[in-house]
Amino acid sequence: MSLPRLVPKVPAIKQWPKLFKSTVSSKSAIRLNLLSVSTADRAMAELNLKSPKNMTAVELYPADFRCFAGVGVWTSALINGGIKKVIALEPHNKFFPYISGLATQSEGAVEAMDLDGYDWSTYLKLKEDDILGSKENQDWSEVHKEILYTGTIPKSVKGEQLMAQLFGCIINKMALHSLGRIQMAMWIPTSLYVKIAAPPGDSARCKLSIVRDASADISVINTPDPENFYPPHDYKLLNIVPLAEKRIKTDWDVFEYVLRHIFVTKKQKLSKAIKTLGPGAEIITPRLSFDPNTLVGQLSVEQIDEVARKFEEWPLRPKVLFEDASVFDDRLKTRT
Amino acid sequence: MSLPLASLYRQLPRRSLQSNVAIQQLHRHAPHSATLRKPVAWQRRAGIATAEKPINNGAHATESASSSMPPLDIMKSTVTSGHKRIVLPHPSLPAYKVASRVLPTNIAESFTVLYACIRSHDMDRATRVMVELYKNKPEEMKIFADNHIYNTFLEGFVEASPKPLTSQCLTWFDQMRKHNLTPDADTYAIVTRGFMKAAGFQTARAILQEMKKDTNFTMEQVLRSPYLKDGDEQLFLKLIEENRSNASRGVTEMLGELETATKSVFNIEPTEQALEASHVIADALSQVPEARSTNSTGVKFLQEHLATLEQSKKSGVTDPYELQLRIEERAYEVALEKLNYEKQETLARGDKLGAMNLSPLKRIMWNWHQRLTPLIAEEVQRCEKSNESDRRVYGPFLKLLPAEKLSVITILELMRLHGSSGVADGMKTARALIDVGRAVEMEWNAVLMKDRQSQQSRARNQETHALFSSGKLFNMALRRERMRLSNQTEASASVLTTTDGETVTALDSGEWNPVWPSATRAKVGSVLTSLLIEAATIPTPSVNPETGNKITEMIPAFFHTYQYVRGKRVGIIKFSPNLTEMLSKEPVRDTLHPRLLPMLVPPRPWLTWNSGGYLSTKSICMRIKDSPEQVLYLKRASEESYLDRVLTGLDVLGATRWKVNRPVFDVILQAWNSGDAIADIPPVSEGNLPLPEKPENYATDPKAKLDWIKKVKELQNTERNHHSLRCDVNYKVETARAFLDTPMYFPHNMDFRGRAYPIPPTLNHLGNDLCRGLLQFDVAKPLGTSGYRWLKIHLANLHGYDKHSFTERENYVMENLDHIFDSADNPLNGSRWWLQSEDPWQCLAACYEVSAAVRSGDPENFKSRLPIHQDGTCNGLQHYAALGGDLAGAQAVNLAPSDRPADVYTGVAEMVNKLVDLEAAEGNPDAVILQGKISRKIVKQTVMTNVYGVTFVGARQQIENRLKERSDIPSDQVYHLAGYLAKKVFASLGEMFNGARQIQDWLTDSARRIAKSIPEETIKAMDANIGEGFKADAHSELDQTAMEYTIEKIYATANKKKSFSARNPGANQMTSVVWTTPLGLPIVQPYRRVGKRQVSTLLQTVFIEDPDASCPVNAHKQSTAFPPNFIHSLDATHMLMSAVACQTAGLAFASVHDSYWTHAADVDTMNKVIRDQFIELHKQPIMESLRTEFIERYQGYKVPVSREVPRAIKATKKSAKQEAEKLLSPEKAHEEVLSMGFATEDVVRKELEDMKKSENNELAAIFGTVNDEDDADDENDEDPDAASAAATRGKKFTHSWEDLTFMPLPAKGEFDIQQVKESDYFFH
Repeated sequence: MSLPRLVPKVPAIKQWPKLFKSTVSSKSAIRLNLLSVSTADRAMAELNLKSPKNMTAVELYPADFRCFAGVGVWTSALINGGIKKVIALEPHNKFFPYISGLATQSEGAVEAMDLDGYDWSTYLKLKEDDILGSKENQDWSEVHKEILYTGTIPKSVKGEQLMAQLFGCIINKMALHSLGRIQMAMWIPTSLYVKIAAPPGDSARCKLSIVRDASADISVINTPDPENFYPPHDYKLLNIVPLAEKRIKTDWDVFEYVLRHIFVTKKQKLSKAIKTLGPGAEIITPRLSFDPNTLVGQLSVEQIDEVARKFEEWPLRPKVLFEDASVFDDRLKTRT
Repeated sequence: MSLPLASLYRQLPRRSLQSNVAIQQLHRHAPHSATLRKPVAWQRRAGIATAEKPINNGAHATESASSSMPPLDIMKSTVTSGHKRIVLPHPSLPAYKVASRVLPTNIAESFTVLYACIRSHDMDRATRVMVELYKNKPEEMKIFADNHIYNTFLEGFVEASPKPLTSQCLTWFDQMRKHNLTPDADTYAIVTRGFMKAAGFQTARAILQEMKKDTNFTMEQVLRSPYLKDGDEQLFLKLIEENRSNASRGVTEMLGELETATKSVFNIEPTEQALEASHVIADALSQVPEARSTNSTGVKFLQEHLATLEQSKKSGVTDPYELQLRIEERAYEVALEKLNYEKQETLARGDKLGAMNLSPLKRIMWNWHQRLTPLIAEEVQRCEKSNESDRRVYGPFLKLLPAEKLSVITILELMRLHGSSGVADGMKTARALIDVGRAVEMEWNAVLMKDRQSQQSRARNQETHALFSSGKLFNMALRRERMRLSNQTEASASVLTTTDGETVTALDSGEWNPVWPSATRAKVGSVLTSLLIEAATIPTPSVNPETGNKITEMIPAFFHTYQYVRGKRVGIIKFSPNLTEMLSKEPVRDTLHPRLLPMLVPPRPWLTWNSGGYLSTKSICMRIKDSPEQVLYLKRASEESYLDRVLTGLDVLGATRWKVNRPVFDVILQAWNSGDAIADIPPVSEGNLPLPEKPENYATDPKAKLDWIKKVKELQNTERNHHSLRCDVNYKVETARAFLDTPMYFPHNMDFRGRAYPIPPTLNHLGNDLCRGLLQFDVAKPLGTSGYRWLKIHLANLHGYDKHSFTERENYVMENLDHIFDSADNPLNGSRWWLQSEDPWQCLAACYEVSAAVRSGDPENFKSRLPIHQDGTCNGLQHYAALGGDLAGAQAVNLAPSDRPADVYTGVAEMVNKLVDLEAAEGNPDAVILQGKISRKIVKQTVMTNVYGVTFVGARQQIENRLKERSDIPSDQVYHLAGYLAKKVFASLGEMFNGARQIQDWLTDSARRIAKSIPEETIKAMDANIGEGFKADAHSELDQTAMEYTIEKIYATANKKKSFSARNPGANQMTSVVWTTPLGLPIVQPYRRVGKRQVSTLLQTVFIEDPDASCPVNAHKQSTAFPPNFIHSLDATHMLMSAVACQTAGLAFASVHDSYWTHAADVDTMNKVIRDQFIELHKQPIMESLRTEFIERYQGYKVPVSREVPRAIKATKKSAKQEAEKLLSPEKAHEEVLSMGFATEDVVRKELEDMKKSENNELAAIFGTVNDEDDADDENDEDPDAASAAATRGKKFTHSWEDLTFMPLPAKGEFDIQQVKESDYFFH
């Protein structure tokens, strides 16, 4: 027996500035939101999930300081599209009522949680047995059948950082991906997509492209008209399927260190960039199997992995690899 | 604008050495000052009036063995700046730009290249540059190319080797008028000399004849030209000789004149005379008490340094002045020869083992040098041939100095920058490159100054120095005379091309010597640095992981990498771990930067803004960074002689003679060598500490990973701190060793608020406890009864027993005598009582002194050298309380008399406790937790930093740290409670210092108004609605051209920027807060939104401040920083006044800002002096003067005002007051946010909101994953327009200009400043 169709209460567009005016009053501070119910439904259908009725979706509305969460358009589309249950993470009090309203309407199919996708503790919570913990499946040969990870990524530096970390989680089987090989369907800004998808040699190729390349296959599901969002913006629904086997063989910390350093000068030759890894690091150049004069931006994941491996083997390499503040940090949430 | 230099110069006679006779007399007959009344012959001839008033120092002229000096007339004048104020045009006005003569960056760079080509004798390229400039930049050349430049260019042809390029010289000489320049006497001198050098005596004669025909210059003027060199008179004699046969009447007449002039100008045999003169001066010097016997180990070390130079080996320099001069002038040669010499010596002895005696560090540096020198030489070769644009730019500069010197400069400079700019084990690349470039420039200047400095000015410098050393320059009439002389020779610096105030602008001789623009420095620095990075390696054993074979890897000593700092990518140069380890273990003697040591003789007195400190380098009395406006004000104030009193104060500080405390030195050395941890010297660490074990769930649990990373980071931090602390101790010990038995002096300069600092960075009394423990006065004074008492009190204070009455403190020392003896006798092996102190090394020094005094059996006659400290009780608050007349506040900071010392921290803590009790009773849960837990310690830091502008966030952080140290506060609450407490501390302070708080508000408010204001003329010229145009008033034709050019440029730039109006005034808000301290020092707040320019160098792109651009001020910073800066300018004034007054009273004096030091015997006298000066200062209507100054200074300035358009109905009923409240500047909402000090809750709330806004930047810092493309050095200024736009959305405003006015001053409280006189604990 199917549920009655969920209808999100989308406020009239004119009211948005007033309703969701942030304390920081500036135009860019209003969160991008999917507005159109029909677009959401279509996108959901195009996602073409095999057995949505078995699936629990974790829906992420990460709170940015400048961006607030959703009114439930996508949440409704997920339920209406056949998903069994949606756990909607909505930490912001202006939006939470919309989600909890849906939750009431859905008779439990939607569960509104006042949690932030940016917090590591959120994932510990989700892994509790009565939420998702019982669904753990360590077999990575197949995509997890019961969990979908979805959401809307804000268009901001922080959103980009979150995506980078999610891919990192796939590689390390961390956070939600400690429960298995979980498919992700994310609404992301087109500008971010360009970075995520950039192949070797592309001018947008960056650290994020490499980590994505190393961890997942991606495909664009839907590119709605900008007017479907408030404020209007180019967004895409991206389907992300983690690889059964990651393409990085070296220790993640080492790989990340090497990646971070050589990509500072991505338009340089590797042979030059390699010097920034540590004093004397150029000694590993002749130990590489490929041409060290390749530009950094043209390197494949496997090539960078090789650099990382040779670096790790080098006896005089720096022993501590995170002297700057570019690693995961939980300071974000303790101070707000 | 300024007179052509040469014309000034012509007034001064050349080669006249009669002055030396005067000096001779002066010294022979010293201290009979009567001699001075007689105007010195050459002064009279040069038309320089000498002081007519008899110099009245008879009563004080006797020089005792102690450093008693005659008093200062000038300080007797009432302390008020009165109308002595410098007011300069606003930076948006053309008049300012003409006055500051800031060269457009591209012209400045071309000029420097031209200069380097001329000086490196590449006249081909110099000619090409000159041609291009005239072709492509005709407008600019018309204004900026003056006779100095042209003459230097012509001289380049004359100096060409092997022989002068006379025909080119003549061609360019002929073209001079075409380029709108008129040849002056110097020009004729240069060209004539060129032909004479080439034996073209006929042509030379013809040129002189032409001059006679076309101009009014006399032969004497030509002969006095600074472009002539020693020995040129022979050429002139030859010219006369060669042309004798020419019968024409004109020729004979001309030759006659020339002969007469030659005789009068070169009337004495210069060489012999000069030699004799210098002997005379040396003699005179040795009669001065400061001239010490130099046969002590310390000087030996420095002498050895010099002995490596062949020249000095022969002469055996023993005179400290000469020694100091040589060390400075030949700094790098000495460093180089020192490395070289010992190596040679060792090899010569055939001593293979001896080679091992070279420390590994020294050996390694020698290797770098050997590899780097040829690399530099090759690069110079490549530059010769290359057409690459970079090489074209830096090439000529590399040719100025020999490759081996460049190599030493680069090595020493990079070593010196270790740990600078907040980078552990390294430095920011941008800083390093510019500093290396600057070091090259400074060395070049030193070489040039040594070469070009005339005998005369050398003699005069030495003479001035002798006068100063003998204390005579503290006689103001004499001092003024000297100042005027200096001003005359300094008046040459007409073009200001630098944004910082650190370098030479002109030579004594007035020759053209442009400051190198930052971009040029960066390029020169980058080529040298990257070559060094290539050359400097340290062999390190390793294995090949593929084969398993043992190999030796050459690990670079320095390497270039990037780090993310607050989310931004910063290029840094790091020291490899091997090098850092060496620096923390081995003697660093040979890496000491030779020019930055303490001095052997008293510093050169500050007679003008840029002549003082070290003997041979030209430094500036103020540390100025990127503020051309401040340089301009300082220079002008100096020219107007407004700086006398401030500069005298600096000289007093510099005249204090210091000595290394030998026993303390020995203990430090022993401790260092043992490698054990003691006091603040960390232990030697062997290799890296083991990392903590990774937790099992490291890879899967982000939390576990984070915790582990935190632990590792902490460990790393400790390790790194230990390393850098050891390096630091190392440098200090080695510096002390160099001066072991010889007195030393610290030249001083100021920061922009006027606070004084010693220039030598490694060892000085402002340093940490170790430095202070190592230093004592050189002069010893018998303690006397009161001195003995103060010595004991001093020791009790150092041992932490400082909250009790003086008598109790004395008793404390007597009760602990056994411990004190033990500390002195067995410092390391005894009970280590001294180590209980927070300042162990100073405590140890006091233990030695007390022990010696007691054991002497006659303590009151014991001669003590130990400086005794008297500290202000929260000195900033003292000034605030005095300004505000706050009774309670004055009581709390000991301005008012009391039986026991009041402690403001305890006072505030008590008040906070009361507030907390009250709220706890009301059931406030925060208050309940904190009840009874607020100690003095918790509030101390916040109270202390309050006056200096701690923000709420800062205060909360401070309190949080303190709360964390307690075990009884739940850790998850600490953060929240800290915020609660910070508010309470602010509230208590605001109550106690009510008047002060109102003054702080007034200061902030006034600064905010100023920062927003714009002169009316600019508004009229720039505002599209008014559009009147700038006035182009100018006196001369050249100025007229310059003015028109500048106006054109301003409009051109303005058109590119966004529109300007009352609604959008940002672009022209360039008004800094400028004020004059009671001693007459002009202070300009430097905070601007500085334009930056990208410069690509070999290593990386660096961002460089663009001096060309006039930038809007950072209004927010201008207003928030003003109150603390103002208070600092007052405490600095009080310090300088006290320094001079102490000098007058015959006391030794040193200060660490608000801690004043003197001999124990003199503490009572000094205390009186300090109080008197404080009263003297605060008797003045300081705030009234400030307000008057603002009103005068900013007369005719307007501020943009936005007024909400009232709704029709309401408007009629609004009272005037309500209307006024609605006045709202568009920026106000943004600006008020970050206030500080005695802030109210409202302000705190706003600050927090503001912080949230900026949090986004913080985020980037934490992740550091994005922002791939931008480099780091630029700041993120928020756009105030965005915030204000939001705040005003939906309302209607009108925008208009209104006069800049200031609020009335708050009423002063009732505290009577005279009470300070009776307050025993004012400073204690």
